[in-house]
Amino acid sequence: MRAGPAAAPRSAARAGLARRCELGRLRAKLAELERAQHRGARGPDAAPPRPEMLPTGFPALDLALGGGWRIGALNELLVATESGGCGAGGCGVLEAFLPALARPHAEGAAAGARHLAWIHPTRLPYPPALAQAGLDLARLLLVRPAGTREQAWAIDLALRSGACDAVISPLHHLEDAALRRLQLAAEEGGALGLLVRPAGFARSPSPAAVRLEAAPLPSPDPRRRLLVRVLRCRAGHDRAAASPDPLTLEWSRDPLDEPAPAAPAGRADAAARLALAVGA
Amino acid sequence: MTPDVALDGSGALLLETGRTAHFLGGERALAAKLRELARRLGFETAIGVAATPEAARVLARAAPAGERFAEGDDPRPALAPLPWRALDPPAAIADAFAFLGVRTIGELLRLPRAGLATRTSVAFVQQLQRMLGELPEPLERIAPPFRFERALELPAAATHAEPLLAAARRLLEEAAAELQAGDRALVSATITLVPLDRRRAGAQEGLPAIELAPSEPTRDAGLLLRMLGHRLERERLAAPVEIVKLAFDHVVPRRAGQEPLFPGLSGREGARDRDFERDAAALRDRLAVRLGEARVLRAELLDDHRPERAFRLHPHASAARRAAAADAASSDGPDAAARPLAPRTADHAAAGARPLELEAPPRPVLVEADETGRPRLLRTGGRARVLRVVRGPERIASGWWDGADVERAYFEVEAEDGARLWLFRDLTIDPARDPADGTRPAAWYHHGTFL
Repeated sequence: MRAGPAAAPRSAARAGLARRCELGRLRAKLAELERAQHRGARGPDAAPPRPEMLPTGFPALDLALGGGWRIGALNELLVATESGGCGAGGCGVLEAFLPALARPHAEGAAAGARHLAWIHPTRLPYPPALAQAGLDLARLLLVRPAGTREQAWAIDLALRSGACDAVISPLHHLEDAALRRLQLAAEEGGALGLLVRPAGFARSPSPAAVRLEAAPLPSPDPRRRLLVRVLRCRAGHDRAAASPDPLTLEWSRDPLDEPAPAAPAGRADAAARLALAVGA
Repeated sequence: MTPDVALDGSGALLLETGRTAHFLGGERALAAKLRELARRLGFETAIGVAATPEAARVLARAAPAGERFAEGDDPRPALAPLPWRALDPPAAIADAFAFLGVRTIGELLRLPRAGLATRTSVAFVQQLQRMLGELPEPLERIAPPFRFERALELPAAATHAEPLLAAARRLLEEAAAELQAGDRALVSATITLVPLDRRRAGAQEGLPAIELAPSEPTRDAGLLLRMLGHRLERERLAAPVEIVKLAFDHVVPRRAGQEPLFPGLSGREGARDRDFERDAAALRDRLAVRLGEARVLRAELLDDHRPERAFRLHPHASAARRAAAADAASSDGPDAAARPLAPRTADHAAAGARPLELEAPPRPVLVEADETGRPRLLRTGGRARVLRVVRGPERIASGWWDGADVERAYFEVEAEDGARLWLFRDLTIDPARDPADGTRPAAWYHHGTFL
């Protein structure tokens, strides 16, 4: 109502915001049309196109990431090593994300054919725990290269081959050029590359599309807690609600676990409460 | 002499000579040539020539060191004077003949058929009918195994991998075309690199030979070439190589699948499901060739409550190795005791939470427990960490039948910073009892980490 100079910047800002929203909507619409057209141009025999994002299983994190993990790119998990001494030791990051990662990306017969590869010289996951997380063990491929050079080669080959849905590898130092090669390999093969590295590497440059930093949190009840911060996330479908605030993720493997009555129910929106039932 | 050769039991061959005998000078000349050929190979032959395979067999049996011929289409005149033993009847029928008083085949053939069938057997009468040509006797021709051996001489002795790979590519493409033409797929092949000095000597032993054994029978020259490339990266050539040889060891018949109707349009996404399997097998092959077969593993769950034995890792195996293992595994071995578990998730939900990383072997740790036996304090590296029991105890007592029996109480514990570990207390050790020599066996172990 007031047309004074004080109102002008506010209305201008509002107009700018409206325009940005409109542009965002148009962009999304355009992308959708392009996708539909591209899909129609494939032959009738074509398999459905592979998705570009994989939901992490935690809605708040998906919101912060603008969709989820990036398929066809490198995703980095930087884990704060505790003073206890084990590498990704015990903080729960893999347990939290593995059920979503273990699901095959495509439907139908192709679902069982593509591998989930774990590549590390010495550390191996425990297969019964992977089965509990919902992974079909026929899809598991364990690779034990002899050293870091062979590890980089194996990750590159697995990402590039198109035969893997996801490639998970605990990694320490790797040169920038090698990381960029891995990123290109993931793009070419359409695989989800997940590098689990110590949090000290948060400062070193990396071409990964998504970088998360995770640290363990104590929890008063059987449900586990994890503190996650999104360091970087490439533009996705939706506009990422980029928040520098760390998120607290809570989950439990056992659907019967109830949160302790003392836990504050009205925690801020950053907390995502989700029970990941075994095999669900 | 003839393309139609069939195996007849052990030590006998049936050759159909009707079409080729004319070109070799007649049946007698052919038989003489056969005898000569066999003699040179070290065999003594009995040859029978007749219009039907059964008659030929009978004639051959009746002429242990020579030849017998039945001219014309009707073998009866040649067979008639032969003793009935040449028919090689079973013992019961032989007794019947002795009882009947027949001596020659001619007499046998004069007997009424129906009565003969009753006294001997229907099968025997059918054999007679085949002999006379009244019933057909189809034979299966043996085919020689498909062989492929090619060698390519390099323009200059090679010390690097590139010219070797270029030569190998030509050989492999030719091989792929041959496989395609014959509807076959390769199980394993050998590439031999012949160095400079050996060529003169002609010695074939000890040459560096690289075996290409993909995990699935394949016709893909590109895959084989990449596998060869990975192997060459690992190997060092002892001497400059002059000749590259490719030889097939084992092929199987394989028909090509259908190609998609719009291959160009769909690109990578349009591939059929079968191609995903092939891509996955190709990836495993390439990893195994470069890293070694023992470093590419698959996992399966076993039906055992002891956590360290609840799974088994299988190294990558090529198709040939797997076939050999399947033959060997038909007999029960010691591994047959551990049966694989069908991975139904519902079963594992009941088993209790398992950590994503297992400590192998379990690491003894210093843990102080409270009076109920629950762990409270963990002492590592000079620090004491307060523990909170999240889940537990889960008792596992198992394995009494193979000597590795365990009796443990497992606890999922959380340290103060939120990290979770899997500890167990060995229940066979009584901590209250102090042995006289002052050493105390470790009661608490760290068995896994909940990554």
